[in-house]
Amino acid sequence: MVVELENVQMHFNNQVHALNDLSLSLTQGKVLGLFGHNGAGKTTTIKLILGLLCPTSGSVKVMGQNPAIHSQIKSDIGFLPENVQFYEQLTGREVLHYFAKLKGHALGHADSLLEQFQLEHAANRPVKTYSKGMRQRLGLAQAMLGEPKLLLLDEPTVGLDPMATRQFYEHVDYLQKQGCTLIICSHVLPGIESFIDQALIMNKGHAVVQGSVHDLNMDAQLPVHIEVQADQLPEKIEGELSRHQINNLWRIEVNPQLQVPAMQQLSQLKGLQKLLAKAPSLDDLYHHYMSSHDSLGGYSV
Amino acid sequence: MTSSIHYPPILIIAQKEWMDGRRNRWLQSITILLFLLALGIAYLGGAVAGQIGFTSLSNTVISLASLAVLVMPLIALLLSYDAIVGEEESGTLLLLSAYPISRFQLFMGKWLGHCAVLGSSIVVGFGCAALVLAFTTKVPAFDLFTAFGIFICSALLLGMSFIAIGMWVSNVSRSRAQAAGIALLIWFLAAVLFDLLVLAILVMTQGHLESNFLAGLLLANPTDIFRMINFSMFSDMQQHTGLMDLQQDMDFGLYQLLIMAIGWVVLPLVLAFYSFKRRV
Repeated sequence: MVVELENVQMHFNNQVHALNDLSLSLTQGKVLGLFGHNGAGKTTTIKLILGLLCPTSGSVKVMGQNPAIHSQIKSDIGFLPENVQFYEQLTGREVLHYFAKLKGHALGHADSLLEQFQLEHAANRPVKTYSKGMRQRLGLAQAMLGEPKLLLLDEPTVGLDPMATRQFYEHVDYLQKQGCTLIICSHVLPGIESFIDQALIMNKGHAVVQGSVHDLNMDAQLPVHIEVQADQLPEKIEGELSRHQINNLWRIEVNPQLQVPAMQQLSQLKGLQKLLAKAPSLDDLYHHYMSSHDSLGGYSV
Repeated sequence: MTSSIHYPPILIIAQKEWMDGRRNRWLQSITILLFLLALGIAYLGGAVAGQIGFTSLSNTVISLASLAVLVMPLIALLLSYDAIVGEEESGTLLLLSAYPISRFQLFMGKWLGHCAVLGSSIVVGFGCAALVLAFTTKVPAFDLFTAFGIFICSALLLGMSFIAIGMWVSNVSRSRAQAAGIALLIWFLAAVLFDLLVLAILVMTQGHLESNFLAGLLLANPTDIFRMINFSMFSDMQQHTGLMDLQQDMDFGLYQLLIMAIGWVVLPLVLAFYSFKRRV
């Protein structure tokens, strides 16, 4: 177990309940997506894992140790805080060398990271001349210094263009194959679901739901969207919940448990040109869980 | 796998602060400012007394000390007021706390780095001014360098003290702007208002003041210790103004004063470190 939180409560000044009974476990080589609004408790969770805060009650273990006491585990952790602004006067290379030296790593390693994150050409320019995406890439290179066993990334793709975002996810994939464990804190982003093994949705210090994206899908039972392009649609489709028509293109929502019979039925249609089923996205799941959690009420901070 | 190198973290952090100070031209501008200040006072300081050109070593050092007592704390506070709160606002403090370095190392590294910037400006700026005076005036070299040596040492201590005070301010502030405000307030209290208050007390009590009490008052302010150190070098002179007249009655030796000045470096430094440790 790389990260293990058991029944963690976190109160500030005996009043604000930043975290309420949070349990979480993450095995080596897994990627956890931590989702929630601002103030949901994501940053508090990260600070607990880094050992910067001690829980009011419950236990936090990172690589089997209490991070607040055994600070030597910090050498094996990479961290990218949200909205970090690096030293503007220094060049990208100087910034990365500074952090490499603080972690006790060779400077050549920092230079190869600059190359990997395509900052080679700008390495000798002051950080104040960098674009938002370049700053974010510098931050990511910083987090990956020294091949950490655990990576904590807070909003890692903010400011990255689609190309860079994709490269970032490829990098996550690569790191995971190397045996690195990752926690990615984020607002829900399109496309992230295929890179995470586990999702944890948080709201107001509570874990709303936790599990693999597949588990969440099974649990939420959100309708499946089917797009059909055909001459004519039958009166009644198996498990149909709603339909919208645009010319000869239909968008149909069906009960997820009846999606196979529905697809079979639709595949028989005359003049069928298109038949496409879309599972609910993580975004849909997120909104589903958040709205059901909010409507339960009683969790006010 | 590349081999890893281990520098002491304090030095890594101090070196980075030094580099920052060089990059944003603090180092260069303070050096030039102090150099011009020293030469300006040496050659034009006599103008108020109707003389032009270099007058005497004692006049120069005393006038220079009177001005440096205002300038040095201000520069030191400007250098250090955002040392901690600035890193917090830009998010790097949180990042650094995830690194395998202790708070002590981070704090001392920053203090040392700022001291290195101000210290080298003081040594080079005032030192070069002393060299120019050595070549252009008839003051015996030994007298000149002794006086400037003591002046530079006391200025270093004063600067280090106010850098520590600035870092304390930085720790107790919630924002850069607040830190700047508190730093200016402290500068005004220590460098300007304090002496006026002591004078006011003296006038109100018509000089009937316990001399121990007065000595205590003067030692309670690092800027007064700095002044006393520099004025005591020329104690045969009777042209002191303001509070420093009183110093004649007190028997502080140079070394005692220097130890007090060192105390005024250590005390705020310890205080600042503890406020840093308590900061979440």
